[in-house]
Amino acid sequence: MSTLLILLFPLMAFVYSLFLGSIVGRQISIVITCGALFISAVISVLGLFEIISTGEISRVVLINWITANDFTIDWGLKFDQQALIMCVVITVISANVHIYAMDYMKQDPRSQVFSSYLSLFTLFMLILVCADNLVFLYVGWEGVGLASFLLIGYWNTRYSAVKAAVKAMVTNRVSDIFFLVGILLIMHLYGSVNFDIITLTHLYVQQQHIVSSYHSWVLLVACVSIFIGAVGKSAQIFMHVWLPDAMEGPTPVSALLHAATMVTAGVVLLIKLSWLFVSFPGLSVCIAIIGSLTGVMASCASVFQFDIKKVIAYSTCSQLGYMVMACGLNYYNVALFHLFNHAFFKALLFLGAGSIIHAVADEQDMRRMGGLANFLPFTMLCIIVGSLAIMGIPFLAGFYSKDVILELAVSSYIIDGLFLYFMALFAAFCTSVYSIRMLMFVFFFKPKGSHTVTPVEADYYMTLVLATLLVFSCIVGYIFSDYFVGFGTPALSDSVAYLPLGYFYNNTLLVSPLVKNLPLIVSIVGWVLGLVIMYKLQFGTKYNYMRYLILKNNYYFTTALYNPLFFNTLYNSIFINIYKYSYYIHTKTLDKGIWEYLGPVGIYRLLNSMSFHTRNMANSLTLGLGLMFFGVVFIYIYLIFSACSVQYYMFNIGIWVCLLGIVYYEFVAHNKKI
Amino acid sequence: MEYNYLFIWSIIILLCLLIIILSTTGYNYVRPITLWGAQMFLSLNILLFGILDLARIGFQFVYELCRVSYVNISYMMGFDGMSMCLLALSTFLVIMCIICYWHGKYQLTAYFLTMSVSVWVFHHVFTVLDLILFYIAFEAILTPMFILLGVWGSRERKVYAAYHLFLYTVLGSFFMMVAFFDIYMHTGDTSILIQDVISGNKYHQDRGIYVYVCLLLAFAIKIPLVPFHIWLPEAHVEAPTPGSILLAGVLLKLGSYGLMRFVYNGPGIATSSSLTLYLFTIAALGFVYCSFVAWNQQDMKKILAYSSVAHMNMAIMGLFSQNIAGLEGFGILMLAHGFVASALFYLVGMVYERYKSRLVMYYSGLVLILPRWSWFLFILVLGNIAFPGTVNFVGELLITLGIAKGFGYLIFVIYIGMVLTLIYSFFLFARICFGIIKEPLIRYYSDMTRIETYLLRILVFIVIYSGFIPEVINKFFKILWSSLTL
Repeated sequence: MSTLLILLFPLMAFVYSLFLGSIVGRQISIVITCGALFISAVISVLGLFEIISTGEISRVVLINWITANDFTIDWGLKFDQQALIMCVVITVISANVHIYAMDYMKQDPRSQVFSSYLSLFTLFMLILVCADNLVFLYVGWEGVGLASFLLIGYWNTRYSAVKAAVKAMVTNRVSDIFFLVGILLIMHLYGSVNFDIITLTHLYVQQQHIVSSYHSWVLLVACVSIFIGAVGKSAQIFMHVWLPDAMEGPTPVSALLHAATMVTAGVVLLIKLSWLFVSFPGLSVCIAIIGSLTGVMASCASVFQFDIKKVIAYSTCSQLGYMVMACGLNYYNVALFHLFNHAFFKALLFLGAGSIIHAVADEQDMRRMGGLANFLPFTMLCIIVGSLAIMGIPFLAGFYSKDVILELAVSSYIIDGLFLYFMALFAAFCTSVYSIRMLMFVFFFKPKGSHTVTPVEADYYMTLVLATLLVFSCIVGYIFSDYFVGFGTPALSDSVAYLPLGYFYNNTLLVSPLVKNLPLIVSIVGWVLGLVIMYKLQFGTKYNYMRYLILKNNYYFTTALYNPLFFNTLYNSIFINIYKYSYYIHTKTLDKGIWEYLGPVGIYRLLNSMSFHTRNMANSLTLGLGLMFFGVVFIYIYLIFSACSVQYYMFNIGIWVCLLGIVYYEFVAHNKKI
Repeated sequence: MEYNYLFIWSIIILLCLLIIILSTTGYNYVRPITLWGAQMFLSLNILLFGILDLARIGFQFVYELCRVSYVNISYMMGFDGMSMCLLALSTFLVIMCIICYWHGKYQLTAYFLTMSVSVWVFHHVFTVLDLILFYIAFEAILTPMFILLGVWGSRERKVYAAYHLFLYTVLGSFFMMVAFFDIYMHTGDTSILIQDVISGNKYHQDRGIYVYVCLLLAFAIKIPLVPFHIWLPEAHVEAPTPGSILLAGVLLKLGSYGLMRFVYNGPGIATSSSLTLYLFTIAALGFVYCSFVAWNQQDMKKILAYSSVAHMNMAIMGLFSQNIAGLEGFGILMLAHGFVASALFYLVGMVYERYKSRLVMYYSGLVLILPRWSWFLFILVLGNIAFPGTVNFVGELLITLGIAKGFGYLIFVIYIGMVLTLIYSFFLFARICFGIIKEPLIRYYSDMTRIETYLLRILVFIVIYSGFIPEVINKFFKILWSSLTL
């Protein structure tokens, strides 16, 4: 039960800080929030050690949420290995970010609201990773989207921030509803949303070979829908457009939400439902290809960005591509490991960037920085270590997970595996290029821009946080590598699907040393190449060949990668066209046109014309009226003499003469002027 | 059990007396008298919640006042869980309307008289157990709404809107009358209690279809289903805030209530298989269509009006998905929409009262000057998009589950509508609340008053509490749904 406290403390911090923050004052409420998150982090680390040593999974059902006659949905939590690992990531990064934000948002009059939003986000993210059923996971899933909306739009008088917040919300909703559809289809098939029940039922059905074609089709649709949901949240290609815009939020938000935790929700979802995905090899390959495409696209785009936060944002996007690729290769534990490592060094990079931005008076354009190496040595150290970790330089965090993914890709011995390997290799190359580019721009170029303030290192708490994350980025990979990807490790087998063929290490042992070391070689080559090019650009003669090659000749190329593949343009035009056509079709043609004409306007006109005709009829004696008169006379005759067996045709004649009169009157007579 | 019901009846008599008194007293007494009358009514209603037997199928506290023997019509009343919930909702909303015109100036006595009459009529329409009397009550609701629109509406176009409202509803009621007379002529009885009367057992299927279609038309106009929805946005825009609250909170529920009570349970059973699919498709397309139109609107009230239509269409999909998940979702979403939509209209009414405009483009940055208002708007917008944790989510989840079980392929049509719901809701919120204040319109600021805050806190509490524990609402309907799907 002590694991439940992990969730309780962020909840308490949120409630306290939001509702009582204005009463007790923002300093006190922020300190309490940070303390709560710190306690939560400590408890989750202890919980992780406990589960590593004992392997006991604890389950808690909070309330029975929805009960219909044939299913129930609980607010249930399941603290298995995967959940506790994610808890550690979330709470440790979140506690650090809270403390960092205490300094970073010092000038803000509503900073207690800011930290309460951060706590709210932490709570929802913890719900997401600990949920034991899909619908409760969906609560956390939507909740982190909500927290993202609030935090991106935190400075809500800035139109760009508001636009980015709404864009993030809308883009996420497009994929979230797919996820919801997937949940419903799984609920329809298996009658439950509980992960354990889904997994066990699925395995039983697979083993017994009692799968109908309908069943497998619906399951495939459900899996594809869920994957689309993951694509949206994890900012994979086609749905990545919201992530760079989300950098409008304050930098701690970018570090916590859009680097370390929230964007990894999609990967967590894939890991949690890994048993379903391993039974569709074709879908898995598609997932891996989408991951690798994302990696290449985002890392290429990152090379051409000038906003320091957008460089790191695209870098996040490409690292998420690696994780999704690992999921697609069915090595879910490796994906989780990369997620774990990535959280630390990416938070380090973002918070370091925040420190730089503060130092140069909120300037985010790298072209207007430069020469900060002398002023911010510690921040430079952080950024360099973060960059080396993301490149996969040995014995830093990224090395242990990223290289494994590449090795697994090449050792899966399928043609897609080779493709994935080379894509990932190219992404690794781009990674080192944009890392060195960012370093050169910020620290080693000549000072540019109008610095009105002297850049100074950050305050005490910010430095403390950076130091903590610096240490973590160096050591977490080494410490946890045996647990996650060690030879024959059974640690995650309770919560993550392994390949049926046995443990993956068997294949990677057969890979030749050259192929194994190629990622490292490529990274170093990229680093050196980037260094040379950047040096030439900055310090070379004004009209050298390389400058010409890069800046003049490739305008379209660089523009295309600056706005990566014009996705934004495309989506904006689609969105606006839908709006425009829906206006013409739905609002103008139907709502203000046909429905009104068939409804009140039509009736109004009909009644008007009828009253006009009646008036005419009363005023003028015409042939029609005469016919009607005689018709009625016939009918009367029939009615009166029916007792004396008058023939029935008299009645018919009467009706017909009457009708004739009406028709004549309607179509001929009323056209005459009175 | 009948004795409990007598208390209610005496209160109604009291209300009738009040109405007579009200027409003669000055308005210093009118306001508290009406308020306390309605509050007593509500508290009795809440008391009855406690003694309602949730395990019993059918109506409870049945009480026959008199019987018109020569036409075989009995003035009989009774409750089940659904009608009790809806009655409590509508009474609460009437109290809200009474409070929100507390300091009104124009025609005060007449306003409170109208409110008393509408409580009386709402009570009848949800509790009478006779088709003809239901028809009368159903028609009678039109009168207070018409007066609200025509007298307290704000613009010249209100005449046109009132005309719309009257025309559509009377047209629908005509069909309903035909259907009820047909039932009466063929069974000789109009009591709802006798299930055979309307359950179609005595009907040949061909005749059942006519009754079904006639009733469907009547209720489709009230819900409203899509081709008949024109009157609703028009009426919403022209109505004063209380009018909008009652329209969204009660009148739309009436249509779906009638559909559930008389069509689904009635001749629908015999003919459902042939017509349900069409109805279902119309409702699904209507949901998407209204979401699109809501996205295009500039007037806040029109956005909310089309959003109401869309959500009611979704509820109807739950009703006709023909399984228990969909039905439960129908019940929950109906009440949830009653709370959320009326609260949203109330909020829009507040800014209209302060700044005299409802167009989105005149507003910006209200979070700076109306922070409390913006918080409430945000929470209720979350309710409108069915954010998990609000009761709307439970309703929409169950409805979509019902659809996935019944008509799986239509779930992707609904998908479009659910995305659009978020788009128009958040565009509305972000445009009004975020950004920089537009000076020419916003000259002064006054956040929500204390009484407005209390009212909205109650609504938000209900929305969130029953979102966490939907069983507090759902338990009243469970036995009804199991009796319907037997």
